[in-house]
Amino acid sequence: MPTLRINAPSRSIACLAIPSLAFQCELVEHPGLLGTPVALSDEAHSRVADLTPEARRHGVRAGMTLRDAVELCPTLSILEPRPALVARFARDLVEAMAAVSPLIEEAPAAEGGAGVVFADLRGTEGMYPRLGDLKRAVFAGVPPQLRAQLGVADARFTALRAAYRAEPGAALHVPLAEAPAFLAAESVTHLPLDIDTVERLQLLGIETCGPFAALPRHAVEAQFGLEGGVAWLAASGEDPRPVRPRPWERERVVEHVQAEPPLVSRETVLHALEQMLGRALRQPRARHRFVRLVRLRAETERGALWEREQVLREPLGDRTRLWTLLRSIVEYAVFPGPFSLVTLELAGLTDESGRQHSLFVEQTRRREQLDEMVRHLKVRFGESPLARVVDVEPWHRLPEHRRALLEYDP
Amino acid sequence: MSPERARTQRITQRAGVRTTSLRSIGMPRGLLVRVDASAHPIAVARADARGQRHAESRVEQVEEVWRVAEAWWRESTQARTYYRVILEGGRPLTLFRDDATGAWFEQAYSTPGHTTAHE
Repeated sequence: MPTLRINAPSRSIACLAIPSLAFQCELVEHPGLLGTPVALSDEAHSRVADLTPEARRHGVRAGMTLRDAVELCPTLSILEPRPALVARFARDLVEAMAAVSPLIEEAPAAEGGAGVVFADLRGTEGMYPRLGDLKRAVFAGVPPQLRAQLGVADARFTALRAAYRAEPGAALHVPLAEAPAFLAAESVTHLPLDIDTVERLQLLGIETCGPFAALPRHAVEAQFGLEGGVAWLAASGEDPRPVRPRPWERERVVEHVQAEPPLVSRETVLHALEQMLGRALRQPRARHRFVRLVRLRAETERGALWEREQVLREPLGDRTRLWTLLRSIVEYAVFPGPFSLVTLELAGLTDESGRQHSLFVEQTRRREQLDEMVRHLKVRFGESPLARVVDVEPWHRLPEHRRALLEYDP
Repeated sequence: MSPERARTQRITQRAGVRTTSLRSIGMPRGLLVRVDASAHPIAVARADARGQRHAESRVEQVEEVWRVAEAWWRESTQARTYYRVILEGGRPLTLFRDDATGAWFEQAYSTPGHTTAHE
């Protein structure tokens, strides 16, 4: 069994990839479609974004209009993309990689975007001395139907290409010495170069990494600048680009609320969020700390995703100010439909703040006293005895649909 | 259970998601109604939770009748005929007949967007 190198240079990078995550997610949800001609439409529902090999055999191609695709293949099943589902599976991948390393990076769009995650494995060699151990630890958190592929190498580009060339559900390790030969056949379109540079290379008859790496480095840098030099190193198996984790984001608290029935009106979303904020700030990890990033995510029953992210100019630890920010995000938002799941994430928790605390905390104290009282009542009665009246569909012609009681659960 | 709902519940189990529930306000309450030949109410009686019938009150005057058909273009439409009546003794009451089942209910009704109920 291949083993990871333990001695220096220990720059091992793992890359977990699911080519065409959106398509795989849909196939997981519709296992009966495996082995049949299936196409995934784009978000505008007008063109084919991805397809199965069975559909390809009928002549269907990505980018084709759906009408043309159906004419070519009358038995074609067309699936609509569901961003919420894709985002959820993408988060699963990140969590799966976070199980083996604290330094995780979601790949930028140029390297595959959602569905590709890098992990810096330096320092974990003792925990996962063999490739099989690493593979088991990573794949334990990934649904097997997603057919994830794991690549391990000493450089970022090599790990990425190894992940794409690994068999579905398998891992591929490319040692440093074998990297140039491994990458030689890779297309230059995969290199970290802009489109114009790739076109110039192709005009020069350089289609793959092998001939590109055979050029003198100084000549490549003279022609294509620093970017060319980085690409040359990548093609030689020595990609200098590190994994760029955002460790401060890992310090976070997350609150979820599933709404039954789904939250229709803006007011109900606001009330749910206000309670989630209170709960998030009371989590031990967030107590007496300050927030640098707020992320709101909501899903409709049909899988549409609404997401907002706000990086704060200065860390905030005050509930009132955080609530003012959240409210302003929600009040001006256009929702894709009634929400069945709402997630609030407070990330980048820090101890620092440049703000002087107010001496007048009476109002805050009253609120905390109320919340404390409700928690006591909840312990005693099993559920919160307080509720708020919220507008649900105040325009509805049937009175019972207009307003509702929302449990007050701080 | 819809596939969407099944998926949401899986998430709930996995991530320890809290559930928030909305309880509707102003749900209709069942009413026992005697009607005339034109199917208009002439007397009403409430029944308590144990099904115990209360004394019947005579309808003195029907002030207004209106019909509400919700989502009439669907198969499972909700059609109601509302009556605002004055009972003996001058007490006002708003009730409706479910046009699909013929059952009678009492329910406060206000024009959408207003909070004052007719009763």
